[in-house]
This record gives sequence, C-alpha cells and structure tokens, in this order.
Amino acid sequence: MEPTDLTVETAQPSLSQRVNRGMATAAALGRDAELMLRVREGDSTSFALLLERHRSPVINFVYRMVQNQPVSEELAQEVFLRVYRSRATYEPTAKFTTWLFRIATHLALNWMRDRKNEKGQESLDKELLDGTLRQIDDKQPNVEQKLVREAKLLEIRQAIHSLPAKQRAAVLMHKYQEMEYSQIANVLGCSESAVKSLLFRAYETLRARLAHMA
Amino acid sequence: MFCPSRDKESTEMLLEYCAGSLDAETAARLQAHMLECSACRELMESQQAVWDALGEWDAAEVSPDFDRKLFAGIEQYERSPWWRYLLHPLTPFSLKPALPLLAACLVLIAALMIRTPAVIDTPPQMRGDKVDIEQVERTLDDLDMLTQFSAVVLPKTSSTGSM
Repeated sequence: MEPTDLTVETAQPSLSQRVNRGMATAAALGRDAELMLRVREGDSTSFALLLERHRSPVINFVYRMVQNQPVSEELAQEVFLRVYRSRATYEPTAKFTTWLFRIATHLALNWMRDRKNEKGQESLDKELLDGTLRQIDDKQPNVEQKLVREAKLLEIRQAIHSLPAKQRAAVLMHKYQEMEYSQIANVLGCSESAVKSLLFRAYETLRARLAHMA
Repeated sequence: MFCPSRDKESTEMLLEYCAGSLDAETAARLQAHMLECSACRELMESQQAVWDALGEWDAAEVSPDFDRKLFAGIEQYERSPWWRYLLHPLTPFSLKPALPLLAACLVLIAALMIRTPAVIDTPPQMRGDKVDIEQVERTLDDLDMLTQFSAVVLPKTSSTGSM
C-alpha cells in the first residue's frame, strides 16, 4: 500500500512560541500565588481577581465532569468558598491551580458518587440530552445542521460520561485545561505513570466511540 | 521501538502530538514514521478525530448572578457562629459525617455490654475440698456415735440385725 502524502494539519508550536508560552505560564502561576497571599492578608480585591481568572475554567471543568449546569455552578461556588475559608492557612507549596482543581475534582467526584447511588441510568441519559439541547446554538442556519450538531454533541457527552470518574477527570484536565501529566498527578493524588495509564485507557475508549467523527 | 500502535510509550507521544505539545524534533520523527506505518497513521487519525470532537464541546455559559451568589455565601459564612461550621457537610472538619459513625459505635458498645455474660461465682475448688473432708469426718463421727448408741440402747435388735 502506497503511503499517502501526509499533510501535517496539527501545527506544532515553534521553540520561541513555547518559550513565550512557558514564561507567560510561569508569570501567571507566580501571580496566582502572589494574589492568594494577599487574600491571606485580607485583601478582598485580590480574591476578586483570582475569581475573575479562574471562574470559567473551574465552572467548565466541573460542568464537563457532572454534566449538569446548575449543579456545576453550585459546586464551583463551593470551590471558591473553600478557597476563601482556607485563606488564613494558605501556603504556596504547590501551584495555585493544582490546589484549586484538587478541590474541584474532589467535590465533583463526591457529587458523582452520591448521584450514582440515587438515580438510575435512564434519568442520567435524559439529563445528558436536556443539557445538549440547551447548549445547541440557535444560530444554526437550518434545522438539519442543528440536528446533526445536536447528535454529535450528545455523542461526545455520552462518550465522556461513559468514562470512569478518574479517567474522566484526567482527560478533562489534559484536554481542556492543558495540564501536564505531573500537575494532573498532583491534582488526583497519584503518580505520573498512573496518570498516563488513565489517559491511555480513556483515549482508547474515546477512540472506539468517536473515531467515526473524523 | 518507535511505533505508537505497538508501543505504549510511543502512544503517549501520539497523544502529545495530537495535543500539539510535542517538541518539533520528535514530531518530525513521528511524522516520518507515520509515512511508512499505516497502523500508526490510522491511530493518529482516530486520535485526532477524538481531539477535534472534544474541541467542539463548547464551554458552559456562566450565569450572570454567579459572583453575587458566591459573595452572598461568603458573607453568610462570615456571619455564621463558629460551631455551625462543624455541622456543614462540606466543611473540612465537619462532625456531620462522624455523627452516624459515633451512633453506630455507641450501639455496638451497648450490644457488647448486654451480651457479655454475668460472671458466675464458681465455688473455689480448694475450699470445697476442705469443707467436704470436714463434713465427711463429722458425718462419720455422727455415724459412730449412732452405732454406739444403738448398741447400748437396743442390744437385742443389733444382734439379730433383721426385722
């Protein structure tokens, strides 16, 4: 079989781009710790700034974990409330985002565990569908495109929903938060090799379910 | 072995390639390999499809009163008496989850106390032997006395021994 001419569609960042991105990340991480130390001293403006920086990522992460909009906001509020309550004892021993997402993951996993015990699969599927319908952009040009997008989104959500809780958390942090393996490991409280194993199995499952979307 | 479809370590490289986080040199090596390996090429295409599909899952819109509710929650926390924190289920040091456990422990302790049998006072064996011996001696003495008495009082009866 003749090898096809592979066009590289995924643009690999150049070295300078990666350095710049790394420096920006390092600055942001330092900034987060600095802000949180100010919150420890009683500076409410710094807390508002941290909220502004991390509100959306936390909500989106929790939303993709629990797949329930109202619940995700409640849990996200609890995340920031815990950050606020813990301000007096905060020490910048780890990245602020590691701590933040550790709290978020813990709350999301607890909710999912409790939810699983309460509700059957049928009602969970219904919620997935309802959530998908709410998310469909009404600006789709025609009904057919809207239906196609609706079906695709539902399939994606179901595929993520089918993953075990820790695999789900690892994939969401890897894909949407662009976290490195080491940070995901710190959030989940496991080794880096365990994270790689989680991601390997998770993506294997997702490929089986979503590869036809190519 | 540098073949993601066969080697797990190389598969991780493929994940990073699709995520756009692989260094340029390794990416080029992987691309060259995929030109010759159809299995890896297919694996990359399916992984890329997954990556792109996940990217279509848009971020959730944040409700406009999110911050207001959060700050209301903070204000309530500031006004709550200190002991209420212990009962909040999400507090780090909450007692609420421990209450059922405490109740279970108390029930267990009570059950053990009820089931434990009462201590039966066993007669001290050594004392029993001593008492028995004394008793036997006394009884023998009493029998001797009765025998002598009957011999004195009833001499005829004792010689025949029958009625």
